[in-house]
This record gives sequence, C-alpha cells and structure tokens, in this order.
Amino acid sequence: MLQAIVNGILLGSIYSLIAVGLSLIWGVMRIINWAHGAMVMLSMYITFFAYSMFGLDPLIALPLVAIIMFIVGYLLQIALIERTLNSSWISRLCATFGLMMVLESLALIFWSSNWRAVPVTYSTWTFNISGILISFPRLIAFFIAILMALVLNFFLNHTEIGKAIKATAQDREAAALMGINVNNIYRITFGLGLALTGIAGASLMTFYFVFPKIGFPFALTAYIVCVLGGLGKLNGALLGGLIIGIAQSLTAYFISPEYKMPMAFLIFLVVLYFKPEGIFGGVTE
Amino acid sequence: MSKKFFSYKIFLVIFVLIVLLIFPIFLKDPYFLDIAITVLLYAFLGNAWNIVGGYCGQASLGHAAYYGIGAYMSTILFLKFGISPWIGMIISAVIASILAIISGYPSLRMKGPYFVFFTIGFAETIRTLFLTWKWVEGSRGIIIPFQNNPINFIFFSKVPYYYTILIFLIFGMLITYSISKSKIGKYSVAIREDETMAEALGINTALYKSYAFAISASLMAIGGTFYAQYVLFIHPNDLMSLNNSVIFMLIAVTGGKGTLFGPLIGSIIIMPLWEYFRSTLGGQFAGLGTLFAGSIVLIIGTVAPGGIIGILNKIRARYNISSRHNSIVGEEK
Repeated sequence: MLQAIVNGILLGSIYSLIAVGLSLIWGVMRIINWAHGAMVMLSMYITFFAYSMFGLDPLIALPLVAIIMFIVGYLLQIALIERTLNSSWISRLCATFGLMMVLESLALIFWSSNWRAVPVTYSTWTFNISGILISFPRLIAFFIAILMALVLNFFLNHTEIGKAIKATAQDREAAALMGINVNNIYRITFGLGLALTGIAGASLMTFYFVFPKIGFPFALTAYIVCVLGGLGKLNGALLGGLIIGIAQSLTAYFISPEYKMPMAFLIFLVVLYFKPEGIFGGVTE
Repeated sequence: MSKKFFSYKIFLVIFVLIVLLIFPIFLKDPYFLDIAITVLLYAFLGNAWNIVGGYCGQASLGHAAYYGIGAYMSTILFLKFGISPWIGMIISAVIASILAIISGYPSLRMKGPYFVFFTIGFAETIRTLFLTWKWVEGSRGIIIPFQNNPINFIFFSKVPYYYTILIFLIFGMLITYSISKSKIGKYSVAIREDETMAEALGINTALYKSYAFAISASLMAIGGTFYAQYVLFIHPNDLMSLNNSVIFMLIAVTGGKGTLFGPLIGSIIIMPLWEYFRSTLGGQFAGLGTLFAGSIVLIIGTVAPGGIIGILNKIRARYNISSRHNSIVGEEK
C-alpha cells in the first residue's frame, strides 16, 4: 500500500514533467499540442542516440536534449503551428495530430519498432527504506520535476521574457499593444514547452525503454493531468501529475494494471463534473 | 445559373451511382472488390462521423467505440442467442444511440478540446472493458463461424457484400442529406459556427448535439455489424483503437467536413492507398500508411481546412463558376 503510493508519486512525477510543458503551451497559446507524446518519444530517441553515438549519459545529455527540443519547437512553431493560429480548433487538432502521426511513422520507418534502452549502471539501483523500495532513477526524475517547476516559476515571474509570456497569456491583444512581439513569444513558448518534454524524455530514458508509439499513452495521461491541475496552471500540473500517478498506482495495486487508463478517465470525468476549471482554477474560456 | 448548376450536380450524382452499381460486373478480382468494399465501408463510417464532426463541429475521436459496440452486439446476439445479424444490427444501432445519449450527457456540455479528451478516454475505457471482459472472449477476439446463408448476413462471394454496403452508404448519405435540410442540421451548423451565439438565440445546444450524436453513433454501429459479418473476426483492438477513430475523422476531413460528398471523396482518395501501403508495403515499411495519413491530416489542418471540396469551392469561386454559396459547406472560422 505505502509502496504503491511511493510508486505512484514517482510515476506521477513523470506525468508532471510532461504535463507542465503541455500546460504552458495551452495556457499561453490556447493550443493543445496533440503531438506532445511524439515529442517525448523524439527526445527519448535523441537521448538514446546521444548515448549510443557519443556515449553520453542521459542525465548529462539532458540539457543538450532540452536545447535541441527548444530549437525543434521554435522551428515547428514557425513552420506549422503559426499557420493554424487563426483557424478553428478542429484544424489545429488536425495539424498537431497529423504531426504526431508523421513523427511516429517516421520513427517507425527509420528506427524500427524495436525497444531500445540505455544501459546505465544506476538504472536498477534501489533504496530500501524500512521495506519500501525506491528506484534511484525515478527518484532523480522526481527531483528533476520539482527543480524544473521551481526554475520555470522563477523564469516566468522574474525575467523579462517570462513576464512577456505571462502578459501574452493574459491578453494577446493588450500584450501586442504594449510592444510585445506576440509571434516571437509564441515561438519561445512552444520551444519551452518542447524543451520540457526534452527534459522529461531524457530523465525517462534512465529507466525506461523507447519505441515509436511510446509517447501517446503518456501524453493522454498528461492531458488529464492538465485538466486536473487547471489548464495553464504549472503548479497545478505538477501536483495533478502526482495525484494521477498515485491513483493509477493504487488502481494497479488493488484492481488490475489494465484499468490504469479508465481510472485516469474517471478522475477526468469527476473533475470536469465538479470543478471544470481544475482543482487550482485555471484559464477559463 | 444556379438552376443549371443544380442539374449538373444531379447528373454527376447519377453518374457516380451508375459507376458504383456496375462496378462489380467489370471487376471480378476479389482483391479489388475487397478494396472497393473497404472504400464504401469507410465512406459510410466517415459519413456517420461527419454528422457530428462536420455539421455539428464536435470532432469526436471516440467513434470507434460505437463501431466496436455495433460489431460486438450483433455478433453476441447471433452467436449466443441465435438472432440474425440483420435484426442484431438494428438492435445494436438502437443500443449505440442510447449509449451515445448517455455518454453525450456529460460530454456534449464540454467544449472544444475537453470534448476530444472525453471521447478518446471514453473509447479507450470501452476498449479496455472489452479486452478484459471474459464473456465476450476478451483479448482473444471472437471468430464468427462461416455459415453461408443470406439470413445470417454471411455470403460466399464478395459481390453481395459490395451491394449491401453500397445500399447502406446510400441510406446513410440520404440520412445526412435529410438532416442537413432539417432543423437539426441547421441548428447543428449554427452550433458549429458559434455555440455561445446559438445558445443565446434559444437553441438547446446540448439537445441538438445529442440528436446528432445519437444518429451518428447508430450509423457507426451498423457499420460495425457490417464489418463483423464481412471479416468474420472481431477484436477490441481492431475495432475500437484510436487509430480507427482517427481514420474516420481523416476521411471526412480530407473530403471536406460538413459536406454531403466529402466522406465519399475522402474515402475514395485515402482508402485504396492506405490499403496498398498496409498490405503491399507493410512488410518492409511498416509506418508508411500512417505517414501518408498523417501528412494528409497535417496538410488539411494547416493549408486546406475545407478539404478537397473546400479547395474545389475556392477554385470555383475564383473563376466565378457559381455565385450560389452553399451554406452547408461554410467557410472555416
């Protein structure tokens, strides 16, 4: 039981890592990035190749992956997402969903469907604290999630760009009138969102394996986490991830691992029914 | 001008219908016939999706659930209770529409992305339930024994299947046509264009969305029954995966969402290539089918939100062939 809760927290921190980026993009741009899971997959592959080609440890490669993903996001925003900003949300759904399908199939074509893992020495280390096993890499991922949330909060509240991002999130037109280059802010935001998936992917890679379709189940849970935490609320996403993680872990413990997804879905329904703006309140549309 | 255009459209419809009717007489190769059946089946399914996704503007990505429920319902009635799939099909259509109204109660009050989350989660939940449900064979799937008898909805050759699905498709498109001309259709379009405004004008948006949803789900279930009787093997992952829901959307969106002929055009363009990529090149390049489908969705989403019919309309508008503005097609907001 306690073990299940600990596992849930550690699992949840991964969801948080993914959901925070999603929530950021949503909060600022009002766009759901359906390709978010594919981005996690992509960053995991980048981490994998950084290891297999240059022998970089995933945790050392982490900042590098984040930077690469930032550039990818920045370019994608210019090439793709910007075109859909003024069209209906179904077109945006099509654009990002199509992007996901393209990325997944390209990964399948080029890198095959084999499962790949990075054999780092610490991937199986565990701590045994009075009978409760704690996996070392998952613990690291947990701390990375917390650290990242702190850094992101600092960035948004205390830097020029961060403040501009917040202003754009609150009111796009007013921000533009204040001389903020909204398009550029959107590009940076999308890049940041993807950089966060880069961090998530790299830390996932220390104890998980990668294959082309790995992203979507994670992303699907991350969407629910976003709704739970309140869309656009970064701290909400962080805490929401932990809640969903614990709930899923307990479901797997008491009922069956197969019901993880239905459980998350049930939580989604309950939250939407009783508190549609999320437990911490979020962007209302 | 507009009258002339109208007759030209009727002529085109009749021409397409004749081509579809005499198609199997000239093409006896079962492989091509199989592709033709797939095209018509997916046109039918895309058409069903279009009622909710196109006219009503509610992009559901959970329609595969109703598709699977239709297949399972009629099959179970057939194998466990001996009820002919023809009757089972109608029962499953009714059940699916009831389920759509129940699931629509929470979901149709959600807007935009929330609705998409809901539909995906709903379909995934149903799929998980069927995968773990022992009474319906769970993850083993159900094999329908081959009992060659028209009463059992099982035919020896592919030709009867072809005509059955053709009739279904015509029936489905007639339903879509009559909806688009009726109050439900007009209100649906109003909801799609501006839901808040529609509500302000006194339209009970949730009610009309439920109507559209129920009709769409029952058509989906009929398609599911057809699939079960045609393939004679059903499995939750084949029927209810997210992939299927995406294909339904893809077909409607490619042809032109919210148009009568969009799904048919979309299916004719996509399905043969999809099947080709999957069956012929599937061994060497596993992801090619998805790559193809994904690129089309991507292009439609970014460049041509109106799909092929949207492109044609734009060309027509540019050369001013017809000044008649088709209200159903509508411009993308």
